[in-house]
Amino acid sequence: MASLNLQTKTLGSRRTRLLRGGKAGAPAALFLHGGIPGATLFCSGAHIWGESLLSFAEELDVIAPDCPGSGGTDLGEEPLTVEAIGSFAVALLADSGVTSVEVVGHDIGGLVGIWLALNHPKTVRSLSIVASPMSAPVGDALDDILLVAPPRSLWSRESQAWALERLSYSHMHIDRTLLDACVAASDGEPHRHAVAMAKTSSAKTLGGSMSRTRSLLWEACRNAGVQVPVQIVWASHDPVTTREAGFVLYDTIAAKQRASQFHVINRAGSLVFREQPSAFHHVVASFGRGVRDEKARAA
Amino acid sequence: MNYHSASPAALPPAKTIDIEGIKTSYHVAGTRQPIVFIYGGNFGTADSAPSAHAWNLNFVPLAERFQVIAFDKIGQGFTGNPLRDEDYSMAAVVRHAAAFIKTLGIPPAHIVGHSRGGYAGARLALEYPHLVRSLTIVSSGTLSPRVSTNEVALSKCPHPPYTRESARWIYEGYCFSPKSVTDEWIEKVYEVLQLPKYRESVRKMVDEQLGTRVFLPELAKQKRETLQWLREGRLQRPTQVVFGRNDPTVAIEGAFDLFDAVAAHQRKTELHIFNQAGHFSYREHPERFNALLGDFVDLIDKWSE
Repeated sequence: MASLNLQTKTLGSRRTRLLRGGKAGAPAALFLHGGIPGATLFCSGAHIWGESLLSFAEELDVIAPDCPGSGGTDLGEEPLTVEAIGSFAVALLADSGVTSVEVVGHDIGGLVGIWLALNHPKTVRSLSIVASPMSAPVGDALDDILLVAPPRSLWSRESQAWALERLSYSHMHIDRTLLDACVAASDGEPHRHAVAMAKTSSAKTLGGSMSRTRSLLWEACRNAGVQVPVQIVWASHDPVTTREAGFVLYDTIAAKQRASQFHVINRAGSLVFREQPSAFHHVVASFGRGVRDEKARAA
Repeated sequence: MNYHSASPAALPPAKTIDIEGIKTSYHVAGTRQPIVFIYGGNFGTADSAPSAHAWNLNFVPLAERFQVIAFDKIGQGFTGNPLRDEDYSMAAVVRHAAAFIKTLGIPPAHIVGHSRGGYAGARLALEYPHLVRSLTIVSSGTLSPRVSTNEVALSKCPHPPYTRESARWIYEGYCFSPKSVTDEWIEKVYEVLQLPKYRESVRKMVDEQLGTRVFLPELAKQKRETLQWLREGRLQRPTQVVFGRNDPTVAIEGAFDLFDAVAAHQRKTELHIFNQAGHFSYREHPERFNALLGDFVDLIDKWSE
C-alpha cells in the first residue's frame, strides 16, 4: 500500500508544504489543486484531493503541493497570478529533481497546467485539465449566483461545508476529515494573508492573468497547437461549468493536438476526484500510461 | 512486458465451436476476467468484410492481462451463415453471440462492441444481463438516435466489389488517417471477401433482398425498442461510451445522447472521446485505447471489492 508524506520545504523565501510519495523511480505526477485562495469559500490545498492521491501513488511518484496562499504554503509578496503559481510549480519540480511530469490540474490548477504546457512543453509529459471552468471560453457568461449567499462567518466549518456542498453532486464526500483539513487551512497564515490580499489586489491580478493565459492558449491553438498530450476531464453535474464549455475547450485543443481526449464522469460535481475517485483514477491514470506506451512505440 | 503496448500482431490460431448448428470461429488467449470483442458491420456487404482480426491491436496486448476472446459473428468472418432466411437479422446476431458466450461457459464478460457490434453488446446487456459484467460501446451509429452518415461518406465506391481496392477505399473512408489502414488489415478483409459462404451471404442480402426485406426493417423496430429500453434504465451494467471525434459516419453528439441515456440510471457510466480518430479509435490509437479498456476492467474489480 502506497503512502504519502507531508513535507515542508523552503523554495526561495516561500515556506512550502506538499504531499509526496509513491513508487520509487516511477513517472512523476504533479497535482495542482483548485480554489482561489482568499476568494473561494472553502479552503483548498493538497488535502482536497483526498484518498484519490493514494491510488495514483501505487504507480506514480505523486507530488501534490499546497499552492501559494493555500494550506501550508506562503502566498508570497508578489501579486497572485496564474504565472506566479506556474513559476512556483516550476521551482517545486526543479527542487524535487523532476524533469518530466504528468500534470493534473483541477479548477484554476487546470489553467496553471495550461500555462506550464505552453511555457515548459518539454517538462510536461501530459496534461489532464479537470473540471476547470476558467480554462474554457467564457463568452458573455451569466452572473454566477451559485455561492452568492454563504452563511457567516466566512470560512467557518459551517460556511465551508455549505460551499463544498453547493459545488458537489452529492454531499456524501464531505466528511469530517475534509472539513477538519479545510478548517485547519483557514486558521493558517497563508489563508489569512490571501484573504487580506483578495480585498485589495489579488482579485484583479488573478482575473487578468486568467484571461491572459487563456488568450495564450487560443493563440497557440490557432497556430502550432499545445505541444503536449492533453485530456479534458469534466463532471456530469458540475454546478460551475457546462459540459459544452468543456467540450469547446477540448475541441479547440484537439484541432492541433493529436493525443487529446475528452471524458465525462457520471454523478459528480466540481470535486469529481472526491465524488468518483475510482472513475477519476481510471481516466487519468490510463491516459498517462497510454501516452507513455504510445511514445515507447514511436521510439 | 507491458500489456498496453500495441504492435501489429497475429491472433492465435482460430478455434471452432458449434453454436446451434452454426460453425463458429473464435480466438481466445490469456487468463483472468474475460473480455469479449464484437466487431461491427454485417454480413452481405461486398466491399468490406470484418472478422475477429479487426481487434488484433487490442487482443494481443490485452491477452497479457485478461482472457481475451474475439469471435466471428453469424454470417461474418469465418463463421457459418444463418440457416434460415429470417435469421439474416441483428436479432439472430445477438442470439448467436449470447449462445456463443453461454457455450464457452465463461464468467460474466466485459463486452466490447464496435458499431453494429456496440448495438449487439447493448442488446446482450439488456436481454442477457447475467452474461455481461461491463459494456464498452465504441462508435455505434446503430445505438445513436442521430442520423448516421455512412451513405454520405461511403456510397459509390469507385472500385469493383470483392477487391482489396474497394476494401481499402471503404476503411480509409471510415478512418481519420489513411495510414491506419494497413495492408495487413486489408489482406484479412480480402480473405473473407473471397470465401464462397461470404459470397453467398451477399447473394442473400442483395440479390434475394433479405437486406431490405428482413435485416433493415427488423433492425429499425429493434432499434426503437433498444433506445426506449436505454432511456428506461434497463441497461444495468457499468458502461463506457467511446467515440472518435472525426468519425465521418457517426456524429459526436450521438456519444453524448448515449451517455445521457445510460448515465441517468447507471452511476458507473463514463464517456470518452478520442481525437484524430474516425470510426476505428481502437485501431487508430491502440495504446491509449488499451490503457483505457484494461484499466476499466480493473476498475470493475475494484468496484466490486
